[in-house]
Amino acid sequence: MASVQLANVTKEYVSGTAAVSRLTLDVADGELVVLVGPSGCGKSTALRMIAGLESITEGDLFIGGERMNDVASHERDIAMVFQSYALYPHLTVGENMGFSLRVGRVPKRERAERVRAVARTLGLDELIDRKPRELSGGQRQRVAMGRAIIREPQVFLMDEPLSNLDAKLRSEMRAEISDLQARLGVTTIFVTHDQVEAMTMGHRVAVLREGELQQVAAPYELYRHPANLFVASFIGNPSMSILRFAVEAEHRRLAAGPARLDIPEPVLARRPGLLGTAEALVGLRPEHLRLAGDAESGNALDGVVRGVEALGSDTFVRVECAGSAESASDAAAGGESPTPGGPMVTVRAPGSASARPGQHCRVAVDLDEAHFFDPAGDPIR
Amino acid sequence: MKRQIRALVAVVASALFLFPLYLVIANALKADEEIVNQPAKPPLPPTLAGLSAVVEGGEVTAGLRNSVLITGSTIALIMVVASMLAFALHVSNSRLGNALNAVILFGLILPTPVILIPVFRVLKFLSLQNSFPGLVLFLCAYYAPFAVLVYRGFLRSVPKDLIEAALMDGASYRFIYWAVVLPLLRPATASVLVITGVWVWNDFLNPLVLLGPLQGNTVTVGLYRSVGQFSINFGELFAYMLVASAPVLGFYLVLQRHFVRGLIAGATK
Ligand SMILES: Nc1ncnc2c1ncn2[C@@H]1O[C@H](COP(=O)(O)OP(=O)(O)OP(=O)(O)O)[C@@H](O)[C@H]1O
Ligand SMILES: [Mg+2]
Repeated sequence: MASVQLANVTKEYVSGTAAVSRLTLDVADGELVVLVGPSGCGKSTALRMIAGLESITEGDLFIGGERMNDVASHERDIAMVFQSYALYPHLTVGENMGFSLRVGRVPKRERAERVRAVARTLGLDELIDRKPRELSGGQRQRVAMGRAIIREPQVFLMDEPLSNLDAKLRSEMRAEISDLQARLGVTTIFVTHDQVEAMTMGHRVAVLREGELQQVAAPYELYRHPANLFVASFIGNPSMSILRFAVEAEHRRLAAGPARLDIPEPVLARRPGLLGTAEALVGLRPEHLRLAGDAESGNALDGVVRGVEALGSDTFVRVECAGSAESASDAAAGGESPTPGGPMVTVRAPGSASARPGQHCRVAVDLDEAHFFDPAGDPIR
Repeated sequence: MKRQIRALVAVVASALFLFPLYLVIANALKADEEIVNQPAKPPLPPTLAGLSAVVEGGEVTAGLRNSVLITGSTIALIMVVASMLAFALHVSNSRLGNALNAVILFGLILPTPVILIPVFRVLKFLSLQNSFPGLVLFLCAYYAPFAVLVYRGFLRSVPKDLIEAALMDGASYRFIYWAVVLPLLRPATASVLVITGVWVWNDFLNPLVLLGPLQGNTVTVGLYRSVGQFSINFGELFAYMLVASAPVLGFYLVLQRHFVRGLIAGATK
């Protein structure tokens, strides 16, 4: 097994696009790190540079402490699972899994034994003589996994290996891959654009945006202490609601349209910088918002229910807040035009909650748990 | 209604193509005077006189042997050289590759008669004139650009992931060529073998000029030379033609089932 280190790794394609800029990332021996980010942020490019399928424009790549920039793919001792699985169509399942052993001139008998053993772990024993075209999507996915693990490589790379599966199978395979990785203890870099996958599978998660690393941290850390507005709004499902407020320092409160929210003392103590800014973007997770009764006092926003998503255990209620304040979520997502109407927030309510679209409601806000960012998206401290 | 029209068109078209074949087969089994008087008449009763005369003459068997030898070695060579070259061009994006590509395309449009004399000189310089190896090398060079074109077109349908997966599996390009690319190119290989095979088999001018009279004839050259020799015995002429074209027909029928599409299906997703 081996560690993987990227030091200021940059990739510029011939076209001039900087797909990855100065990426620095340390993956410890045996660790599972997830690279996550929106489409086109450079995840695949980063992975392909580690694999040696793409040249590194600048910076250094180390695997097991050795510089690998100029080492050919087939000498890096890395296995990769492709999004498309890339199974050899003319070979059987067994031959597909045994291909790397054949390349490595492992004797036929031993090869067959190892193929059988891996097939057994993955529940593929019955399918060993089938061709890939005779398999279901999930089975193909397993074969692709088998092909990677049979070699006992230094590093696993996986590029969105679950994105072609249906939701149920995907969550099963998530658990299975995590299990397998823990059992084999192989250093793994897993790419996905799905933040649920990132949160559930990664020992640590690296968030990329437009080729730049935003934050690397353990999943819960990422959730609780996002390094900036982008990470805050990208991680979490449903995502964090972000509202733009003016800071009224003399009254120690936030104001937007008719809404006034008093800033609790502990929050000010933790973020003394808050009173020094004129404007703040406030991030509120659905679980820190609550549908409140009309009589309740305390921090609250008035609004109208616009959408209800009942999941059984929870109900997520989309509320359009009254007033002229605009939602800042769109700015965080990359500068699209702001949604018309008032700012929207998502509230987590109990599964039994009965909210109907069009209904007026009050949303209680727990500012103790809120995240504060300046207009540039950096956290206010 | 539409289906009937389509069927009718198919029948007429097939008849057009099959008629010459019928003429050859029917007349190969008829006596000489019958052929001259009623060329389209079915061979009833058939006679094997023409066929046995041709075969006993020995001319055609020698020609067949030469043709099989030349065609076989040419297409085997083309298959290997062209598929390797196509794969190399496919995975490299160097400037040299692009230049090479242009040269190959140029090779496609050169007519043989224009280059025959220079080629003869080159072969002579290499002491390969009037020899089988000389002819085979020339035919290979002449038809390889077409084969490269076919292979390259087909390689485009081979997912890039497959080659990259093999690289990750530790395979070198040479191993990938043998173990992944060549098997996947089977339908392309079948087309290349059949098409270039027929061209080489039917080729007349190149063997006539490059082989010279001393090395023996291919079937096509043999047919040409036998016209005078037999003072036009039509029975034997048709019998000769039948024997000369039978191997090509057989070859085509055998390879035909390899023109399977969808060999790639199941590779990805
Ligand atoms: N071969 C290439 N030549 C030029 N630009 C490329 C090439 N491959 C990718 N890019 C660009 O580099 C950027 C990053 O692409 P990449 O495939 O790494 O994104 P990604 O994060 O994997 O996205 P996705 O989630 O959609 O797979 C994109 O802007 C893309 O257009
Ligand atoms: Mg990608």
